[in-house]
Amino acid sequence: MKPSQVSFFHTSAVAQLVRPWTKERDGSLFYGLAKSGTKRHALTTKQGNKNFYKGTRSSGIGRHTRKNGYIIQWNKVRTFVTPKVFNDELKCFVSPNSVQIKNEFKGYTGPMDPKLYMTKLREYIWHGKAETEESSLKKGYIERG
Amino acid sequence: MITSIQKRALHSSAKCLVRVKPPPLTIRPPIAPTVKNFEVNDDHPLWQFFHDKKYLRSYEDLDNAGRPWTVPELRRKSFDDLHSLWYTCLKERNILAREIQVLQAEIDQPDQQFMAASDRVRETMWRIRHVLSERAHAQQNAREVFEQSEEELLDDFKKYYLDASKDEDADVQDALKRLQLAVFGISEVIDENKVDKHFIKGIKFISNLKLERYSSDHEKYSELTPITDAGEALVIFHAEPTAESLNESIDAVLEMRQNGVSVDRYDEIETIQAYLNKLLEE
Repeated sequence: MKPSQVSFFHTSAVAQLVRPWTKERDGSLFYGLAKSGTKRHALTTKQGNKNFYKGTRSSGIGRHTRKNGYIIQWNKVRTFVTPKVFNDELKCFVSPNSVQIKNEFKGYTGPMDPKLYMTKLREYIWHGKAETEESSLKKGYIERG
Repeated sequence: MITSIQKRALHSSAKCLVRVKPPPLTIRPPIAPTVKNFEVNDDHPLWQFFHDKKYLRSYEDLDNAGRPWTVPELRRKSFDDLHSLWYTCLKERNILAREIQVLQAEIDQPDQQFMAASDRVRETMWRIRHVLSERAHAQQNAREVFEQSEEELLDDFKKYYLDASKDEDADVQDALKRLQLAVFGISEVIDENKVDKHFIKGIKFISNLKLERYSSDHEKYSELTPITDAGEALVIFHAEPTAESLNESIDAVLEMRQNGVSVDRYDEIETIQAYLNKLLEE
């Protein structure tokens, strides 16, 4: 029978049960920021055991050959489609003084209503891209949508 | 007998490989490792990660007041505009991420003001995706009910097209072009077109419509209509919207019928596609 370790007798039963987080002399935790709080977060790439692999979705675009080569499979390579006509007049922020438009969808259930789509289709066929009375911006910045 | 005196010399390759004493080294002043000693092109792609070619923006330069785009605002924009705005936002977020990283080294935590700006850009970005998905769903929903309402739409258009006076000719032709693009997917540019069942249906509908407007007083009109052959429809479809041009096409169709030229109903898609390809090569 294996003898118990001597240090076992020196720690109390309570100390055995608490988490193995020792405190530094100044009171800060040895590991982590707090003992309380949420702990069930997604693992990072550095956590987990030896079988845990979490990539950055940035590799795996081909395969290695036996002689140190790497064959890229171009159908696995990510492609980024940029706009054909780039409109650089649109900025990522809107002026806080500009009034916000409101859509009301009067007579329709919402933006995904097929009836609304058919109305817009008819408007396009008959009037082109010009605004009609119904689709124009009304007083109080209210729009049909 | 020795006819020529052999030259005693080293091999030419040996001459090439002979060691030459290098010229004495000249010592130049050292190049100090500072940014000023590097020359970077103004159009270097990595400049896209910098705002105004600055290492770090000050808090005053940062747009703190601007608000993100709202969904109703984005609903008014075209696909190309939304696509452009997406990339503008993406670039801005890249710049902000770089600046946050730089600041983190100094203040040991992500800077709140820069993070807030980044979050506002992110808000615009999810709204762009929201609007695009909304459009896709709306189109899908509309496609499901379109089969019932298509006939009604085409009837209304037919009425509008035939009742229009001669002064409105240009308007009516523009409307017809929009109809053929929106309903049948027929573009004015020939090489953008792909022949499918909608294309065939479209040229048949449009050729009948054109004949009725411009050549209904032709003596062979009642005999000729309705056009059901795809080849005949294509001849009339390509005719100019004038009475003369359409009467000419009627003559061409009558000649085709006399010669027994017709397109089989079961391979009209292939035949018309082959014909368009031939037209493109010319």
